[in-house]
Amino acid sequence: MLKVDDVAFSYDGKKKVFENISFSLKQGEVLCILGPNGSGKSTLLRCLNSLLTLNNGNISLNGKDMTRMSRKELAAQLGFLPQIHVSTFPFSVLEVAVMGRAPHLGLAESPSEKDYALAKENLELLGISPLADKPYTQISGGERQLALIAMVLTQKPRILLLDEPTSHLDFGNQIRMLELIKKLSTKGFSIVLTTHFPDHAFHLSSTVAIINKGTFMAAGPADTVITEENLKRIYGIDVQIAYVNSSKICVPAKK
Amino acid sequence: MHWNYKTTLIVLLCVLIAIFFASISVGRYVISIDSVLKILFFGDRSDSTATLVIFNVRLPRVIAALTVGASLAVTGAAFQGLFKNPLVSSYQLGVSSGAGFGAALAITLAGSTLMIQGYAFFFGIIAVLASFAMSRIYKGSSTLTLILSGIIVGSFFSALVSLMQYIADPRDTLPSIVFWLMGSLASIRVSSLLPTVIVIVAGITVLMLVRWRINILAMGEDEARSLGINLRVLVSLVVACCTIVTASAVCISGVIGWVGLVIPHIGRMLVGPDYKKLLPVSLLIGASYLLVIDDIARTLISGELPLGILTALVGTPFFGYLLWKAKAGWS
Repeated sequence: MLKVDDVAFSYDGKKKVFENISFSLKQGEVLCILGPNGSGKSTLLRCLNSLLTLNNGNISLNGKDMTRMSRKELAAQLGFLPQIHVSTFPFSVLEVAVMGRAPHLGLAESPSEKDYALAKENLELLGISPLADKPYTQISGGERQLALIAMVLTQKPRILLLDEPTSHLDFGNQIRMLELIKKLSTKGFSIVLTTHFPDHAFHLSSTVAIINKGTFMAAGPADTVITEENLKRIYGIDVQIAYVNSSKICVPAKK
Repeated sequence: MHWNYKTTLIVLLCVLIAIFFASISVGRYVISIDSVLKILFFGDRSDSTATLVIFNVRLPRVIAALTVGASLAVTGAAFQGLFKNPLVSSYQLGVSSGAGFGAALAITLAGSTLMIQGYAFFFGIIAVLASFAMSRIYKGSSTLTLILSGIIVGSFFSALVSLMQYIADPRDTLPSIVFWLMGSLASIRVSSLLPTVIVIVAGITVLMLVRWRINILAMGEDEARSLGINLRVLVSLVVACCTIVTASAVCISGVIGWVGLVIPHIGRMLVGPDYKKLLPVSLLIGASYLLVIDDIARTLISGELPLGILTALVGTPFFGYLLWKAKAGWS
């Protein structure tokens, strides 16, 4: 449903952030993008959401060129979770969740009881119903991320773009987030996420793409892409891939 | 935590109605509430002085006060959301400095009241257009650049106002400019009030219709775009409405500070930050507030106190109190 064809982007028109990137995403598929700091993961995700304009190549959604779609049309297909989000005003978690209805409401419309019911359903799904009336500014980072996911789900998109969804979470919440991503993919959402943890790609047993020096260095199933050689190439450290209870984990090698 | 929205609306509406009739009643020529109601609603014309005072002086002035108060509160609240900043007011894009220059220019040219209002309105709009154009030059639609452009343009017009004051005749023109800048409703004329009120009502109606979407603007630009908002259209619409409303208010009242900044915070304390509730509540509080302030301005001393002085004297300590309590609804 999402097809990315030979895209390139540059902020200043000279130095390319990335180029020659192509991939496609099927329904229910999870694509995990790995790469060192500053490799352009977030920039790529922002391009996928049309927040930045490509210098080359094109992206199509269900066969339709994305540059020809309005923001409203895009929002009906794509949900975006930013890396960090702060709000100036203490909207309640429910008020934040119901904002996801924006692409489905007219310019002069406010959310109805039905829209609030849908938002509450998603709070329930994510297990944060007790937070509904809590101010968004006074909950923890993990809870805030869940509130934003509730908003994105209320938006009812088909593709989720998650920018480092695990980066500000404690260990337990990271695993819960991964389980949630798995659950959402079985519900039919296609998901693109960026992460700093190769283990998370193993955990999701997803498709993995490694972005390094401005292009996809490798792409394919986690088991073939996440290798000791590849990890050394992108992170510059020796890594050993070990098995614990038949699942793979990455450990820094002893010198 | 917060008050029930519907109850709050009803209470505030009742308070506004009570203050409205009380304001018609008080003044140097006191008219009992009883007579006010009789004259307004039952066509009682037996007291010709009271009838004259009500229809020619009090009613226009009271309507002007509540309209200006409502305008500043609503536009202040809308700008705070748009700019994601609880410290901005209706004047953020330079509308008051522009209007001040227009008024000063018209006063220097010995213009009529109508000309002063016209110039104030025109230059208020020009200042905002300049801010908007400037923010576009630094490519991108960032609201932060818009704030900075507003400060730049505001300062430019303030300098022009100072220039006008410097060259003005210190015997008559200078005091007129200074008084205009302090804000007053003493020179309200029925003829110019009606068109102004119509423009303000139209602008506020549009803001009310799109008010829920201001929440989404307040969440951030990328978030708003991801939620399917055409940022350019919505931001332009909100800025255009706020500008027309504020410029209209300023051209009949002069510069009245601290209403657009403080009232939205009181609204947030009552019903929370959701603009669906905040905007109507701010409108009612703003209208009542300026009515009371104007009553004080025309009854406290034998002359007239400028409104801008009173709103600042009341607004600043109150804002200090809000900061101290730190629960005014921002983090």
